[in-house]
Amino acid sequence: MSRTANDQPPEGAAILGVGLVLPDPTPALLPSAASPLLALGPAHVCGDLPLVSVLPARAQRRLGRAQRLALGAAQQALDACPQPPGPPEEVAVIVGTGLGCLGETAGFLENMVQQDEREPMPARFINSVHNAPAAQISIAFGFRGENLTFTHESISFELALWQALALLRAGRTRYALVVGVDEISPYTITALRERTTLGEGAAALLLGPAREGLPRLLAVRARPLAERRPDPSAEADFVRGALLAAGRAPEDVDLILCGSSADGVLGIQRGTFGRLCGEFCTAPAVGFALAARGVREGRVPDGVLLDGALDRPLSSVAVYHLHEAGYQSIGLIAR
Amino acid sequence: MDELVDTLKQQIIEALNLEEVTPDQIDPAAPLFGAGLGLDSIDALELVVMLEKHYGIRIVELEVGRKAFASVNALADFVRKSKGPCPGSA
Amino acid sequence: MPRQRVAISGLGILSAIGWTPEAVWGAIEREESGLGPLTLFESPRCGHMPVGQVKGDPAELSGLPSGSRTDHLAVAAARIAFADTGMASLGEAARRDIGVVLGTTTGGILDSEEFLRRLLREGRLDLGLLRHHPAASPTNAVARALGLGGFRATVSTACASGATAIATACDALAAGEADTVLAGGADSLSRLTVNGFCSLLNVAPDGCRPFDADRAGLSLGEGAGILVLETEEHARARGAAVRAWIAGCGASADAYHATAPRPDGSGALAAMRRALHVAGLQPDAVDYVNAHGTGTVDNDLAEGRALAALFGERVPAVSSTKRFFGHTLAAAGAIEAIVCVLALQRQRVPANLGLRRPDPAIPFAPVAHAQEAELKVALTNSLGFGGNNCSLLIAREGP
Repeated sequence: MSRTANDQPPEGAAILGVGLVLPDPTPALLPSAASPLLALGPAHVCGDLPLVSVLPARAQRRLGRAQRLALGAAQQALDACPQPPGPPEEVAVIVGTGLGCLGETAGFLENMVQQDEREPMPARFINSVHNAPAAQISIAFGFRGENLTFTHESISFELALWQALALLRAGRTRYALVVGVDEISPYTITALRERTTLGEGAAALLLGPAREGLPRLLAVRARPLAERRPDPSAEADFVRGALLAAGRAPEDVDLILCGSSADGVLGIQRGTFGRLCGEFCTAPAVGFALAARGVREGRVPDGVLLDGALDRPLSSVAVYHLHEAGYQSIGLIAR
Repeated sequence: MDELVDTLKQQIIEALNLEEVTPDQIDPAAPLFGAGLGLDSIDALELVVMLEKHYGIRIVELEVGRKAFASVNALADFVRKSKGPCPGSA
Repeated sequence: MPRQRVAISGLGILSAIGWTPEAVWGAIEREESGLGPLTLFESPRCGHMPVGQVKGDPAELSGLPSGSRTDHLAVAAARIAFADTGMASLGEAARRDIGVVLGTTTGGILDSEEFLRRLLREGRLDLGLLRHHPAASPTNAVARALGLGGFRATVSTACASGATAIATACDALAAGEADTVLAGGADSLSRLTVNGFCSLLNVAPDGCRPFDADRAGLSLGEGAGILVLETEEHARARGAAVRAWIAGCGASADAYHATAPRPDGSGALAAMRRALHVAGLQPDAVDYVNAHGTGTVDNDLAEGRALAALFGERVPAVSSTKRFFGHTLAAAGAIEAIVCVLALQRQRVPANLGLRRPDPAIPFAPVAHAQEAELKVALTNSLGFGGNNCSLLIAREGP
């Protein structure tokens, strides 16, 4: 019998700003790869990579793809917040990335193999570590609070949110900038091409002290599954349990955003984030960003809703993900 | 001798992706790091690789690199000393 | 109000100086470095540098039919740690709630390197070799091998990963996500890290000499460290033999540079202060510091300044044990936490192996030889690439 997680206080954490870097909605091929045996797509690919104002352009062009996507999302979330968070010691940075900095890792190793270790690429090595996006965010914005990177496949972003809530509740930080990012790569396309259309992107939530009128992150839960596909009643129990711990019933939830269009839980009106960005480990971050903006603005983009027009104003949105590799996650954002 | 300095400027621009910089904008006597071009320690590592690639010189100690990269002139002297009387691509 | 202490009820370690806590401590007492030639693979460019390679094949201890070297290191250490707790007799149902939080920097990269070699040199696409690439792979391998279905996470904060994993596991216990969590880190030697660090020009040709005046860089190592962590309530209820307690964890970001630490050590200082604050302890409660002490010019100076700033006149015994193990990257934080547990149990401070002449620029000298001491509380630092700092406080006594 699983021990119940401590009741999460209903106030949760306020979402002070949201950032979202989406790929092109039309899948396309990657320009090139190191070998003709690698597949190039089609996949959802981000166009021009973001350039942020806080770092010199040359310094950014030297960074890896995941770092640049993460910086772009982070900057947006910070810009959306009327007052910049601070002081620096009180801003934590937590990143979730399923596969990390693939382009830099591949670039370093391809060069190493092809050149028999001559003429290495030190900048690529430095950028290849999984915590490179989190490190670069802290350097760019000067944030000196706790800094972590979660790298657990398809629950990486949810774990980052969980950790943020734990830090905020314990008073170990005042703000938490939580970013989810994964980049497209010919290696992932080649490894997974039979199964799905891959994508890439980044999303960021700036969490902080509760403030009147702002959407709040009330709950997040992520766990591995005993079986690949749990039976529907077990799924429902998982979602209901998380909602109850946040002081809500399923009837209170206006919309549930899922990864794929097949999912649906507890009769809640459905939407999907998968169509906007393709599949990648931290795609749920896109779902959370859409949920946060949805609760704030009362609407979500076209193409997200699955059950026709919304039948009521948006004030409470759940984000649910069931991944066939064996993970389940649920989050709730509400006024 | 000037030819080596000019070549090195081109190679530095290429190795470090200094898109907006032209060779005549680089003062060969000026510091490359901190002030001047404002390069940093990661650029220094890339220049170490550049020397290996074009001149077959392999620097293994940071301190040697620091002195060699003080300025383009210092780098030209370093290359000449390491290669002997006829500097050029390896 | 200080947070509840977390019980450490099991230890598992694989390293260049041994596969059991007893073997590891024996080498520490004999002051025998585990650094030696790299034989795991060939590196024409960098293979001459001494490394802390695990002797023997970890696959023999892991019981896994397949997996990357890092998977084998992690599972082997986890089996030993779990058996150490006396919980190995637990059935399926009880194991379902036990969590796993591990750190790794490169996961199954050795297999991925072989994949690339075959692809680029032989024109062969062997996708099976990428199966263990994700950072989550060692964590999942441990969970699967031991039937653990509870809270699961993988963290990757460069050289701080093992310590970060322990801190996150403590957070999971405090939040009620689980009563028991296996926490630690694992990393294997790899061409990526051997070539990568070599290209940064900070690898010591004659082995690392932490805090030495003539130190010339780090030495790479590999291994795994796993600690079984329980809530106090759970440990007492089952009459667990508690080895030591985690009193507090603290982390910070330097926000300075992709590889270099803040020269004034203020990032490391913040992490140590946060750990003390969480533990409800003052600096003078600390009896021993196991430093990150990689042996690079920059790290040791910055960390030295941080320790001097924290402790003032009263710097306790300090040693870096990295010349024993090499820098085991994600495993380091966990392996060094285990060293602290062993030091507290035996009331002995490990030597700062490799010290010939202490650096006069650092305001204290580390412990040159293993010595007896009254130890109640140990502090261990892990200061990672990109400015990720994590400090752990380990206490001999519980609440």
